[in-house]
Amino acid sequence: MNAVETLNLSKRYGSGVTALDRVSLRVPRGRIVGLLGRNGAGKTTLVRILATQLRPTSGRARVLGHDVVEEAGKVRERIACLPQEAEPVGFLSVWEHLYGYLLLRGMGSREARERAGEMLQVVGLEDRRETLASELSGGMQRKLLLGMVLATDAELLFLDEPTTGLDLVSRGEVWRLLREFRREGRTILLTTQSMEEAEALSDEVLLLHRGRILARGRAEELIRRVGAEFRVEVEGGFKPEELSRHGRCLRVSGSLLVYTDREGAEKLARRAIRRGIHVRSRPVNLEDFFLLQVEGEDGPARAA
Amino acid sequence: MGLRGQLRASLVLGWLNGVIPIRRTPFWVLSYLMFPLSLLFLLRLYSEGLLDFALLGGFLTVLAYTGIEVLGDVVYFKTICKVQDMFVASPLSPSAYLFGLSLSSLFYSLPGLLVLVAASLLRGLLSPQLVPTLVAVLLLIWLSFTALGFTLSTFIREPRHAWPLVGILSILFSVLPPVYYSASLLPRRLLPLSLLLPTGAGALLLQERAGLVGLPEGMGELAWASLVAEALLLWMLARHGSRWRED
Repeated sequence: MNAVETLNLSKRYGSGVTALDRVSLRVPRGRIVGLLGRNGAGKTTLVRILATQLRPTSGRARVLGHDVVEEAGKVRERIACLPQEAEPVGFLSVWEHLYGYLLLRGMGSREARERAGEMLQVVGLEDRRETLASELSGGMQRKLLLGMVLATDAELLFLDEPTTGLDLVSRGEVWRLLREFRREGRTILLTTQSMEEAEALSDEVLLLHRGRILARGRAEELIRRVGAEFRVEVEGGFKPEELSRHGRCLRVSGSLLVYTDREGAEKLARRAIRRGIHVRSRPVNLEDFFLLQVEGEDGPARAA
Repeated sequence: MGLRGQLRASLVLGWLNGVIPIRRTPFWVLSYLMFPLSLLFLLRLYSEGLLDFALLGGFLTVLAYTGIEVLGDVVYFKTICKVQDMFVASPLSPSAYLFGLSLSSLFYSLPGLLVLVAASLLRGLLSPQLVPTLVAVLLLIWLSFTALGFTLSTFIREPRHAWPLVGILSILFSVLPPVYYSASLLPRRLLPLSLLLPTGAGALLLQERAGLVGLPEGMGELAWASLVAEALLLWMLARHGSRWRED
């Protein structure tokens, strides 16, 4: 059985905005699936519908075998969700958040105490146990909320940009936690703006754009679909026509990106050096797949 | 999660949102006691006989204010902390959430109620005849106002709109009906109008049972019926009409 299945799922808000447009997807159990997309692509709307927080306009969605509209109660028994931009409750301590949330979800008090104690250590807040949430740094607050969700026995987690605001070390710790969670056979649907995070964590990546799924697959498969080995970024000094003979050329935020092979990258770098122009080169990654897909959809005029 | 689990979850929420904040910042009790205590002071200045009205009105106001404050709590959880979505996506039912918030408002109002009980005992107001009526009326007021606060909260998206609304409603419900003044001051034909608000119906019953006013025949029964009906109606509205899951 899949953890998540949707069929032609759509959401149109009262303002007339179509946030999701006939999205059909399947998320197998025991996987981490990364939902990628620009701001407003529909990621949070999709997560909120699946987590039974928002009613879809049309289409169907099943979570852990239950319909999210008709059987919301059964879904809620088995999921947990970390919303985007959530903050802990300022007047409660770290311990009260962890222990209290587990009790609220129906966990026995001894088990809740044990789990909360373990999670304090896991998220590195054991020395902040009695600290009020309002006195924690932004990163610590995020870790606290994540700890609350991870301490549950939910089979499926919805994490909406869980590492936003975390420093690199904390982010690495969270990634380790999520991988452990997956090893326990649980499923994570993760929305993120970070390509690096999606690439590092996801068994499968879904690229959402303007409410539709633009592409899906394993990160390495998607990267292969870029069709180039290197990305060379050139800041001025060349016309797009000059660069396009080296490979596919794209204009992004004032820079020209050239997707090419190793030889093309070397030639281009030499030409740029001769002209005294600054270039940066690196192997292609998921960000490039994302850019090419989204730019291809949005603005062929911008593709040089 | 079964019924027992949901009740336990409500108690936990009551503890988290009611007991802990008041233990941590007891000073906050003044926020809802200031109005009834000020009126107590002012009415005492005018006439000692008005003290009983002020004490009975104080009981009603404390529960009405802390009950409607649920509105602020939900808005805080929903739009400021945004943790309500964590509650929605959990085994906690909307009814248990509502009941938990109601319990927290009850816990929160207890210190204020104790102050009023102490003052009423000193005054000799709490007769054995009055106490059961007082408990029943306050229970219904508590249910009505927490349910009203919860329902209204689900329609508020901008947190700044919540705070003035709490102030306006609590004053409206405690000043318009005969909560701090004698029901006998109202023209007879206007008396049924006061039943439209739970605090009005409650005040009629308490003033009558305390021997402060006499009510026309059948008015007492009508006041009980109104109070029960309003509590049920508001609770059902909160249970079914509020937007636990957004559209």
